[in-house]
Amino acid sequence: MLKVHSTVRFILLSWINCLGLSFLFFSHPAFTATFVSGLSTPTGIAIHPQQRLLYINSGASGTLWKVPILSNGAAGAISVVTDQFNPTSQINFDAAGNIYGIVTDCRYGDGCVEWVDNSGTVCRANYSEYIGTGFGIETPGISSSRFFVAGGEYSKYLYQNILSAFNLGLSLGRVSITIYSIYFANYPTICRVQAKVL
Amino acid sequence: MYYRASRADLVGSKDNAVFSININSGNCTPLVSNLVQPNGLAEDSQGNLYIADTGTGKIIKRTPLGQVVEITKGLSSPSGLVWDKQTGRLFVAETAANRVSTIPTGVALAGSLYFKVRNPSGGWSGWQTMPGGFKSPSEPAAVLDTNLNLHIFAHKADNTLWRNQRTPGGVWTGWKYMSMRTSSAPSAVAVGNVIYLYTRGLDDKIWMSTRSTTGIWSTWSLTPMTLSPEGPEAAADKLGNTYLFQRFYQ
Repeated sequence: MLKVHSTVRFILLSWINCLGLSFLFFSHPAFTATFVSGLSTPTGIAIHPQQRLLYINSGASGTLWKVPILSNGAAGAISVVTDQFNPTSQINFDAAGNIYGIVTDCRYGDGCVEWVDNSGTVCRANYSEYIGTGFGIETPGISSSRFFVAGGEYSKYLYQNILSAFNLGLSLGRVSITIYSIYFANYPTICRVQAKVL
Repeated sequence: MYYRASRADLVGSKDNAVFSININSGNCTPLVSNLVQPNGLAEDSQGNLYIADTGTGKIIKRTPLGQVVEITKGLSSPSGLVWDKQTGRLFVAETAANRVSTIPTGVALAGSLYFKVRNPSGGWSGWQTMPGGFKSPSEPAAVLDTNLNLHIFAHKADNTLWRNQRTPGGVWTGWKYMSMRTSSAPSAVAVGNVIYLYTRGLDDKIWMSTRSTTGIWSTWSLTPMTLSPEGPEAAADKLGNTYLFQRFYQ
């Protein structure tokens, strides 16, 4: 059994070749603790708005896991929600418990908004060549919440849509409204935002 | 990108920096720079912003006043980040280590409010509860008027500030929203039957509202205090002067 020396406080990254097998070991930095391990390249995480569940996705594999957060703070049994959820990085819930992400290559190179509803069904909407990776959900808990999507590398716009429209399937296609253009050139010395409606 | 309910803005990352966008005015403000591939963003109940800096393996905290501190380092490609309001911990996805880890933030959790009464001879009552299952991340402010009505002020984890009143007969009038959002404990003083309530708004400024002798609360007005990372402390004398204290960071 290999043991990591207890005085190592921060990350210990070491490759150990044993009988042709390579192992990669990480120790924890101070004050941190493992909540759940054995996940394949986890990227985004979010906490369910009504239940004590931590959702974790892997942008590489398309897997979405959920893990109960027990009353003592430890993790419960992990389970797979779906293996068809492909957001590149960030995931987030709306008030109803749907979980969203942005997929940068959904169809013919277009990005889209992808979400998993409460039944576990994976849905997609808002296909656009201008969609980037970042998004935000306004004040989860109110029905008029807006869904903001950052424009892609060549768009430099911030898009918004009413969140309920996603759920009703009313906004398929490129129907997002641009409210601001964001100019990032020479950032951070210039960080301009201008109101603009397409 | 992350929507901050406390500020009604969006926080996003681009290149080596994190910025905020006010979704009403369109104003864009740089928050933290000199990062290396900032990724996950999260906010706690006190308005601190946390950034998972994937390129350096660090978690960076930006306080409401703009102080930037490193709260941990040595993580393995930290990406997704979320703050758990029930345990006060950050969950962070360490992509290259195939795990999710937790980091304590020390931010107080919302708890139920209780009180005891000490009589003039030094005897203490048992624990008494507030009505309505009210929970707050901070201690409440409490003040008695000359009619022995007890006025309580406290905020919830969603940063809304509330008041309640207990008559001398022990009857609570119910919680009422005070049209103010704060993430700090308020402070209240009584001068006769006039009550002065001070609190730190989410803009870090110290605000004041006054309850008249007829029980009418004024609209909120700014005090001349400076920006503060915490709520103020107030006192009053018999001459009608009120004293307001705050801590200065050097």
